[in-house]
Amino acid sequence: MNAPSSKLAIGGIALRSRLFLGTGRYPSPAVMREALEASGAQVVTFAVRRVDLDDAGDDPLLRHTEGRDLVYLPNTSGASTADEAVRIARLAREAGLGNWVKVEISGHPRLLLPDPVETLKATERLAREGFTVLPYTSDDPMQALRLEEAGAAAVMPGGSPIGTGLGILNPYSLGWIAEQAGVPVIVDAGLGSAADAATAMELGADGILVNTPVAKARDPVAMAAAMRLGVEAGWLSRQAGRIPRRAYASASSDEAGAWFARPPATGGIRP
Amino acid sequence: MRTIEDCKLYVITGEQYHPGRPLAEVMEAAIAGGADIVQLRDKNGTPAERFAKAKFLRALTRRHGALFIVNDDTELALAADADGVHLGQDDLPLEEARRRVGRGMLIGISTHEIAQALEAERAGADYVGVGPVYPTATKPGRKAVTTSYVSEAAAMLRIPFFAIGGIAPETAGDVLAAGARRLCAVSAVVGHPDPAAVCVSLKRSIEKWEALDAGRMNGWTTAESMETEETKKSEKIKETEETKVTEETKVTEETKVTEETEESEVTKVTEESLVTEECMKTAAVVSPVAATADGMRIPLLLNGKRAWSEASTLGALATALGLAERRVMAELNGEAVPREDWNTVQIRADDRVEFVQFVGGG
Repeated sequence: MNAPSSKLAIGGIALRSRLFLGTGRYPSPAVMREALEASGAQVVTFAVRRVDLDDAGDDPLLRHTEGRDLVYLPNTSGASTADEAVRIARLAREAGLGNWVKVEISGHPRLLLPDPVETLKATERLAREGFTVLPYTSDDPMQALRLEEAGAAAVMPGGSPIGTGLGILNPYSLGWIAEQAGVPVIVDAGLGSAADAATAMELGADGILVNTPVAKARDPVAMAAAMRLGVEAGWLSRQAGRIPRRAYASASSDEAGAWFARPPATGGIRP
Repeated sequence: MRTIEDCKLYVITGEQYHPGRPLAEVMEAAIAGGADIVQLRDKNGTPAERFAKAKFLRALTRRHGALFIVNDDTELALAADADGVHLGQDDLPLEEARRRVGRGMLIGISTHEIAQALEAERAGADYVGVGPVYPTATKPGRKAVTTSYVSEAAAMLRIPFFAIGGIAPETAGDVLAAGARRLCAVSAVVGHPDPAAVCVSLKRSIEKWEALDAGRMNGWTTAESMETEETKKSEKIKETEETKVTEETKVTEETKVTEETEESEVTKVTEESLVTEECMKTAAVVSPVAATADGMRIPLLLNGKRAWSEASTLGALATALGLAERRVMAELNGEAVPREDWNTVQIRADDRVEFVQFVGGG
């Protein structure tokens, strides 16, 4: 429940939630819908795929999200070059659900880490074409700055490779990105639990994107709620200003008035 | 490994057609353009040279998933670990060749009349060459068999056959119209400055005819449902061809597989070659098996699969596919098409159409 003043704005839209939710890999569309409800997310991500012409069922997903006040963020997964990503983005825009696009250009089939060169090219081109571009990037502070220069509306550095649940492997770099960025920073990929969500926010992120940790949790709906709370807790904690980390203990109660003898400075070892 | 049934385009080496260009470069280009089978035919090299070429072509074809056949020489085929050996009418009898190479190796036979082809099929050939369809420089003494033998072969053979002899982008249409669905080329490919482009063009012609063969299903079908390799020989075909003229090329005419050694002087025929670019060919097919004849059928690549459409606009195609009411997006030849334009955007032969939709993702 952030104060209105603390709303995250991207591409001219003030968002009611800092949690972005992916729509893939849920046990069923109904569970996805409930999880979306529980997460409070406003931005939802999708992929673009060929229609299966041999089995043209009904719309798999949009039926479960349409009619809500959502912001659609199609990704360009499946692209391995800037050209492919641009094609996917243009197709997605023809769906009439807005002009946001998550540039996702995979550089390696097993790592699934983004290709920095192609991502930069695609971001530049799509920003010029009037898209609201949110590029998924590795946790490289320089690349994040480059993407911002290229016209990204927000940058989305990964905490760790997609779907690994390894959490934030490089808090130092992520902190740097958050500190330096002139656009919102959405930590995207690799988070595993509500603790990771909170950590990302404490590092200075403006929001997070999760899919697998919710969809594949034992109870996706409960995890969606946990993520919502984790993001809020992390955000408030960041705003509140945490104490510095120190090497030595300091008691929470005043020494004055203690009436038992103190142990020696050597601890339990008698001289 | 691919089977002989999967193979549509067969290219045979002919180093006399590309003096000064290395064999490796030319054959790699042919494979890149879509050649499914490569045959080493080298009547003049020393055993050591032929072995070296065979080893090289074996590695090249393996890398690209193409088949490799050795002409005439069972020992070399075995030594080079080729996929098969090809024999002429006067070469080793098929039974003896089979005894030497075993059941695991393909054996192809050159045939010049239907009796020879039926005999080869009976004796266990894996495929036959049917030709020379047109007069060729490679086989100067051999009389052309014309497309009538191609039609006979299409009607009577159960094993795959490759039409050969004078096959080039200019002649492919007639040979395919006669019932061939597999082509073999030599000089038109290896004697051309751009072998890959010629292969692309030949392959495209073949695929177009395969698409026309396909049965009808709500006005469209995919390659999957084409398994019934039923060539319709009774169709009347009207073709209009619009060829794009590139540079003048030296086309020397054509090889028939195997047999006699003597290469004669290559005659140089100057031709306009049609290569690359969208050379559009629309065929109006009147088919006795089709319930409603006369519809224009447009071959296209639909979501990555060969298909054909009776619809001439994107909107009509979407309707035929049951997508009209759904929130799907469409792309034509790599360009997204706004929904409001679907009904006015025309589909032409060989267009690449993609229908996509949103699915779950992060």
